[in-house]
Amino acid sequence: MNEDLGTVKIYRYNPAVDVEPRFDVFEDVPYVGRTVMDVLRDLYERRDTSLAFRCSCRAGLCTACRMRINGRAAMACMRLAERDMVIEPPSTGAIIKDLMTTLSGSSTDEGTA
Amino acid sequence: MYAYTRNAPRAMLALESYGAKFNKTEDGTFEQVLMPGHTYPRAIHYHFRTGSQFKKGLTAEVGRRPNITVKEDFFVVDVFVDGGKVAGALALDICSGKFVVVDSSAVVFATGGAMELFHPHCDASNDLTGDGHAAALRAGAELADVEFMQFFPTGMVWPPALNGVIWIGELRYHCGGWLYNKYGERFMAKYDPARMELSTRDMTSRAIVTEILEGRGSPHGGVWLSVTHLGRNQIQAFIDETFPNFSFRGYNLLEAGVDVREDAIEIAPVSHFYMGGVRCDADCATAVRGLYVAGEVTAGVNGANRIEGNALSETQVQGTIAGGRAARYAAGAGTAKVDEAQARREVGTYSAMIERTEGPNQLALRTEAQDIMWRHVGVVRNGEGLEKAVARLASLRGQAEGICVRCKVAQANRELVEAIETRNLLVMAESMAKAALAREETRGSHYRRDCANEDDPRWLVNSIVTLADSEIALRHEPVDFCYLSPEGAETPPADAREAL
Repeated sequence: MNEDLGTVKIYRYNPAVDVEPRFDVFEDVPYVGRTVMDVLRDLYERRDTSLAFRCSCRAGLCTACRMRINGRAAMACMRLAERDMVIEPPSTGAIIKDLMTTLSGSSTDEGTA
Repeated sequence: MYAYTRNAPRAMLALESYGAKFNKTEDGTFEQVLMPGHTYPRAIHYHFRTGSQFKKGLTAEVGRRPNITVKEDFFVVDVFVDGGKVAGALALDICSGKFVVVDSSAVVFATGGAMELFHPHCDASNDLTGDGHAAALRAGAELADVEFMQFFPTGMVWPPALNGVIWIGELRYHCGGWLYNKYGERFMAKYDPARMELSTRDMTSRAIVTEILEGRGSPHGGVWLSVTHLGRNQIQAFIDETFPNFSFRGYNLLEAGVDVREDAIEIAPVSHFYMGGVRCDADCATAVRGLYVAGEVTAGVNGANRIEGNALSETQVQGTIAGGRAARYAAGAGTAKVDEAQARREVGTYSAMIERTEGPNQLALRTEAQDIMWRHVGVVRNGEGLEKAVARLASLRGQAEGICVRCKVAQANRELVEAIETRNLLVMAESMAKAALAREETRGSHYRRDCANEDDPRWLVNSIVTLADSEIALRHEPVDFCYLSPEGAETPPADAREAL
């Protein structure tokens, strides 16, 4: 087994479409010297562009990328990736899709074109 | 600039009343510090992490005002204009994937800069893709001075976990770090032999990028910064004082695999602040009636280069002015209504990205543009490279009109959001490259290797960008020195107003 590749299990759920949540498993994921956000972006770019997650300042300031990583709350942009990871949405807020939950003040009640 | 300097102190007092904290002296006045480029200690701060206090104060104040509705995940993509006046805005409700039309006679953009043009050589938020700039341009507003992007010389390029971290530059400036190219040469000797690594930010950035672009960089596209010529205990003492436990702002160097006591690190300049932007007057009004702008999306206040401390206060002064003026204008303008056919056409432009079954991938277009920007439109520019860049970027901008988003899921479609951003980013990329090619001189952050001197007789002008029939047009206008001339003679404006 290659020392530099890990396995990532990611919570997937689109309440508008899916009956229930599931976990997708991604194998052979580069993780050394990367943050959890680097890993998520890499998976989004190379493997599955439907993966939903929040990412903004990339410097631990905006807290948009809060999620649970191996059971612990953390900001994905600041947390170093590990060989085996389970990534879940934060425990606060309603699930919008996958790792993305509602922020306070959010609403979706406008008319549409 | 006059409105900014005149109103900044009051804007800061307002912010303090919202709950933002600032360092105070024993007698209760603001602690004022001298920052690089200042002639007088005028910067106020909160433990040099002032931005977080702005966020805290403003968030609290917004919460106290029930008449403010905050819409998160609501991406305003275009402004509707009818008869030269704003009629509303088009937004993507990211969560549902639906496009939403908002009727409004006034719109304020506070959408920030466009630093992503240079990703991964960038230390800013990843959504700063020039969306407000491009939308304003499409609505009929003008952009000004788009060639001026400020770079910070020392952003880490490796490992990825530390990409863009700029405070490591302390090792260069305050610890006496040395810069090496891949041959182990202290290359600053070629660029600034007297000051070497203690040269200015601009000169250091130019030297580093010249080494990288000429093939003498480190493995991951930077140059080496090292303090290992110092004693290990000497380095440790600096670390203990500056980054206790090798940590700073939540980053830990040792955990990320970097031991500066033994290793050199790879660094390169990163885009940090955008001086160019939407052209506006002292009321923050643009060429489109009802469209206002505030903060980094504007052009003007910071000229061709920004000095430290001005970015945050600019947001507060202009935000207050733009908001006030927009509200007053809206009250007088009456009810606006977006034309339905126009709305359908605009929505069609964006929904076509998802409906298409084939077409360019947004990420491929974006990545190629960013690479061109870094190589030819970045810290070091020359006419030949810029000409190539303009041609290729124009082609990429054309291709972006046919982008196909592979992900067809409506809800929280990141690929669609990024596709819209990429289309905007390409407008800004071509605009910047064109303006940089035209300006055959060196001024502020704009460095032309083939025209290395400042040329006032010819180039004391603003670059103005407009969009007509999908063509990016560039013209120049003399700088209007209405208040302060380059010779230093100040003429207080006849109509000097207290804006706040």
